[in-house]
Amino acid sequence: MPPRLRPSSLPSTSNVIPQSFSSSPLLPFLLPSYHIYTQTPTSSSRNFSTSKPAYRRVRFEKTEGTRNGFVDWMKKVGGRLNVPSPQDNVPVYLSYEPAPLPTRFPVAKGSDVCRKRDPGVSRKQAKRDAVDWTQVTDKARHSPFPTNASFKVHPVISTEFREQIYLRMKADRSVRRISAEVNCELERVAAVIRLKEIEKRWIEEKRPLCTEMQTRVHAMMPVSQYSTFPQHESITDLRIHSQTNNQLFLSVPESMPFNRKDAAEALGLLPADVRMPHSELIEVEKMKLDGVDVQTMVKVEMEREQREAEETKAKRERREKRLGAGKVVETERFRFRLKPANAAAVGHRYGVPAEDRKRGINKIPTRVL
Amino acid sequence: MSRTKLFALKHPYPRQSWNKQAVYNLYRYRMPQTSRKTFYQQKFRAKQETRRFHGEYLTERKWNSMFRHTLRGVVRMNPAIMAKDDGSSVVSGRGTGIDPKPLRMVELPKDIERRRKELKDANPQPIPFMQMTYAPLERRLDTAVYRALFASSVRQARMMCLHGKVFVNGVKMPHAGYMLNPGDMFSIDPLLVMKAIGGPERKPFKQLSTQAKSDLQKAIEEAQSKTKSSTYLKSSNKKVLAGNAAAEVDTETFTAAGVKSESTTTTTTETETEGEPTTSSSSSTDKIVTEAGGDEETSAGNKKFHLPSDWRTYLPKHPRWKIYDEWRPKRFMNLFAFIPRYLEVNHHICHAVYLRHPVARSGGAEVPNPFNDGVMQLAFNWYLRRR
Repeated sequence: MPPRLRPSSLPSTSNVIPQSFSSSPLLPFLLPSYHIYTQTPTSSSRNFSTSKPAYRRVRFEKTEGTRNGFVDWMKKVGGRLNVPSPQDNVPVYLSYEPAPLPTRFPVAKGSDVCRKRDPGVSRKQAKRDAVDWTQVTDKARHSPFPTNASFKVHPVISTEFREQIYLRMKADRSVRRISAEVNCELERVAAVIRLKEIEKRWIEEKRPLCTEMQTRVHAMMPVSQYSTFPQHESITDLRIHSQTNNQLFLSVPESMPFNRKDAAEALGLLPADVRMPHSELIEVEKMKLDGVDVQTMVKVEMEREQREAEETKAKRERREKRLGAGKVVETERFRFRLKPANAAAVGHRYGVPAEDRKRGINKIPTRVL
Repeated sequence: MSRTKLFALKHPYPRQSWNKQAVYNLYRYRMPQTSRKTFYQQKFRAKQETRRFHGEYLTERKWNSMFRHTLRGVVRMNPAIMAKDDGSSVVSGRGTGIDPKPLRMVELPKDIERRRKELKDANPQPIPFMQMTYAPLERRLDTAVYRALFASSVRQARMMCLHGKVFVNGVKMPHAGYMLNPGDMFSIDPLLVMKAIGGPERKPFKQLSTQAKSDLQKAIEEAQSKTKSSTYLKSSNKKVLAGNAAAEVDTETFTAAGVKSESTTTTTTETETEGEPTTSSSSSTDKIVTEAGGDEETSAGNKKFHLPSDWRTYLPKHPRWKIYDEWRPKRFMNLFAFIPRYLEVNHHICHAVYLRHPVARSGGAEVPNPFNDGVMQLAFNWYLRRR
């Protein structure tokens, strides 16, 4: 293919013809032949393109229905969705239906189809009556994303609830016991106590607390209040072990019983009775079934708690002893634990060089102590 | 390269942000259509849509390295049932377990209805494992900061991390990609959090009358000119008044109220040169008012100041103290005001604890997103393909 001339390099009317000629009817004949077939002079370098040149084009084109639609939405719907302080702790989450009325003629709350409406009741009113509003509000209260029914909001514990947990800790109760009493996960109880201790320290130091923000944030979401027997969440959630996802074929004698313990053994795991958090509750339930009186149950429980406390104490002491064996030198980056070393051993390495400058090794720390 | 227009209205993407345009986009968002598309197309589209929501600032390679095909789930155990039964009834009979309430040969329709209801109660809802596809991202520090309602978008949370505002277990953690471990406590300065998730900032002097404004200006000038006897300015505050750009802006706003700026600048230079720590830091409002008024007698002639009772909070340094009591939430915060169960947050002190990794349980997963199970399953399959 022959090299193409770029249109911009060709002479155009503006630089070939003097200005006085431009309106002449003889213009086509005055021009060189290739100019007859070209367009009338444009400022574009691309003569065959009908669209505007890049520098003439608006950077972000204004189209109807996008920005205007947004402005309209902000006026009509936006105000309704923005509720900075909802009443009675009823959260306002995103609802896709501007007017959640059924399009078809409604089915009454019972199974009977109501085709006739009472005289004096408008069609709209009849439709509105037919909606189970308690169900609708309940659904809206717990699902912030209406398109995803699988994500439901779980209430958070109120500030009073936290205070109660902290008070129980101050009354020398174990985390495990508090967790069972207030029906919160073990980790949550421990975390609440940690946070509460920092809060108390701040109050001592007279640092300001964001009480206003806390109350207003809690007003916007479902909150579980403290009561005598609070029911916050399930405390006996058993983690599904990945080992149990695979099928296992095992021949078992028909005459022999096969229970949870046997199944765990076959999979090479601990039985669920042990792995479950708050496994001591099973023992309590067993005692209940056996008809043990309350006094004995309390006594047994106290003994178990004491035993556990002693065990954890011994464990901690052992750990401290192990860690505090040598001299500890704290630097900004490292905590050196100096131990007496045997330098005479053959092939012994004194240390391992840091590898964080090597290619492909992640510099982001994996844990912070 | 990541998209620069995050909240475009023409081609809307769902984003994790409280931005008004993001809310509008989420409001009108519809799930991708699967009809008349090949399986590959469906998977690709689902992956596109979900990735636009989950960590869109991460490269695909980075996310691929984080993806895990093992998904965490949890089953609720009932200790009462476990005490009664050792599990042998599940495999007894012919190996499929014994039905405690077998169906009778002839059943009344009413019984069948009741039976159906019982079965429904007994069989819990399925565990939405597919919703856990993007669970590894929830471990990231920036995402956790956003989930704890300390930032109004994941990008803002990321910026906080990168600027060194986020502390993990009391240690500054400038890596947004730090993977939180169960039990990690992270914290941010409460003032920063209140600014990030709070409404528009309070305009100082907005509510004050012209008279009060001019009086306030005179009081400040008085304090600046008298280095020794000014009772309320600490040395730190003085420095702020003298050199801070914000303070100068504020004095300019005062000049609009009718006071010359030249005098202010001269006084500031004076304070800079003579800057010495003042003796008394205790200050009650009436004391200053009377004192300043007494000095004013010489120039203006026995004129009292009309200052508001909380006038100290109007000083350039001090409006921050008012934020604690006058905090208002950012627009549309209520639509996203929920804290997932794997976090325990204390907004009093802006600390939060990452309790455990997010899990799926019967009827619900802990990863917040607007996509239904079908879309998430397709996205999961897309990433599974390369394993």
